[in-house]
Amino acid sequence: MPNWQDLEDIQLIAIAKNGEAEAFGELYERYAESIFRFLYVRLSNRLDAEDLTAEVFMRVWRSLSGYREQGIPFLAYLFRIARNALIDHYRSSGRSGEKVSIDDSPVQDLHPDAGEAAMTSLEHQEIREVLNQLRDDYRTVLVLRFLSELTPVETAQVMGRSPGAVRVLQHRALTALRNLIEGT
Amino acid sequence: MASAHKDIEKILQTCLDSILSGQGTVESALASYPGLEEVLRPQIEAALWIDARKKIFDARPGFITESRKRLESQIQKELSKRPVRPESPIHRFLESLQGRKVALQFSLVLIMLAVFILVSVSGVAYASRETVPGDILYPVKIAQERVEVTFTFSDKGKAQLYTSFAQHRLLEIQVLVLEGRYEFLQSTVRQYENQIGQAVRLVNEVARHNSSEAQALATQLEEVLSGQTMVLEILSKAVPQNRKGEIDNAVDVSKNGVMAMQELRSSITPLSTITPSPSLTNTATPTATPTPTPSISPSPPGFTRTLPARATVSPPSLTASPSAAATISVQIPLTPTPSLKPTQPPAKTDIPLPVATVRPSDTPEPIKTQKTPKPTNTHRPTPQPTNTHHPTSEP
Repeated sequence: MPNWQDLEDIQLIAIAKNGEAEAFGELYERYAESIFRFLYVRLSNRLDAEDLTAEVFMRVWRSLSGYREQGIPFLAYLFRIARNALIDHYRSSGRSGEKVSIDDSPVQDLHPDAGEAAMTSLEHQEIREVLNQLRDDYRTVLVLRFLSELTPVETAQVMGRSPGAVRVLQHRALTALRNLIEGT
Repeated sequence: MASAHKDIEKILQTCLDSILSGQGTVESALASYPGLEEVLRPQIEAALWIDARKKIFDARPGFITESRKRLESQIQKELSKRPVRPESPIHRFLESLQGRKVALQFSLVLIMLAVFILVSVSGVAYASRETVPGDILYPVKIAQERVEVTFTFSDKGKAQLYTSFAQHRLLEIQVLVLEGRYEFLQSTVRQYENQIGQAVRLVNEVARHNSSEAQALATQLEEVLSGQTMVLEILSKAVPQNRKGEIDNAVDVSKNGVMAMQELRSSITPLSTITPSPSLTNTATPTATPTPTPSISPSPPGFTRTLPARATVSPPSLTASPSAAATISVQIPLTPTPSLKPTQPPAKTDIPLPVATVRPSDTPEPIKTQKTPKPTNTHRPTPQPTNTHHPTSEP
């Protein structure tokens, strides 16, 4: 069995395309946290973000055969699917008024401290409220750069802009955020 | 000014990279740009504000590891269900050339040449019949269909063509799903929906001119669509969740088509099936046509569709008393008049459409018919109403 951690994304993708689930699992391990944060900052519920993260990667897996390295970088591809999944989630939640199923999520085992959870949830809500007051592209650039921890170049690929345009956007977004923080 | 802004943005990026990577502090970063501290500090502080809170957005400890296992297990399940896709000889040939650029180019030239020869001998149309979206010859198949539509001039013929094309699209959808070629699914489903829409529209067009043809077409299309709905519903369960919506839309279109055809058939059925029969006279009630005016409406609701309105404008009712109207009003359309005699076939010939027997053009002008009946004496519009032309009078 190869050591998946030593392989580049492109190699893992090629192996995963041939039906190797573990190679795709390694890609998941690399990017799941970034995707989770990207989703969680837009959702009110941690469990929804977890379910949607899994959903995003299943979508990526199902469409992997159509993915070409020469097109967009894998990370950008991943975030694009995440954004689409988020939109679908909003639509379905809006339509049914129900949350995504969380039946198989062992949340209690992994989060024993209810007080800490409540505090985290409160802070999560506060930050979301601040970020939600920003323009959509400002919010996106801040989330990608500082929460999903993407480099300026990666952020540019995900947003489909040039690195220079992303730097400008980041500058303006930080100014807007600073004004909001001072106002609260 | 613009270049100064660009510099600021670059400098800010440099400062943030240094601070967030732990290589420098805020003060050390600002010290490198003494004149810009006032501009940079609020920006850096805003960035640090959000950076300090990123832990809140961390996944739960152990979540990534646990969910990775679930993901891999789910992938294994899907892999075990995925059908083995049979490779075409062309695909195998291209696979064997993979990595050899010159050979690949040469093979592409060969393929193009082969395609050209096929076109020149007109065999390409035949070859394209079994293709599906994504195949090289598939555009030929579609072009051939367009040509067929262009050179079909009747609505009936076009409706049948579109019904047949929709059937082709459904077969292609099945192949695409079986082979997992979902990238072509959406466009094929749209074509399917469009062709169903065209077929339904054309059948409705036919119904405006020829009810019996429309009846046959509607029955045919309804049967085809009912079968297709079932197939699509099965496919809907077989496709991945993110493709389900596309198939479900096609199911809806197909079901709507079935309903449209049912409605159309029900609206034209009475015209084509009811023949002049004794029940027409037997079931009529005296209240059906009691009004003594010439503009009398076509009596009971049950008859309004079977008989054209003008046919029931019965001259005898002009003079008939209300008590006599029961027999008069109903029998009049079937009563022979001098002008109808030579053309009216005997009732026993089982004419399918009552419209044909009481065509407005055949009805006498009011002036003439008012002269012939004398209802006050016999309560009948003509002297010999039922013996010769009434359906019941013949064996």
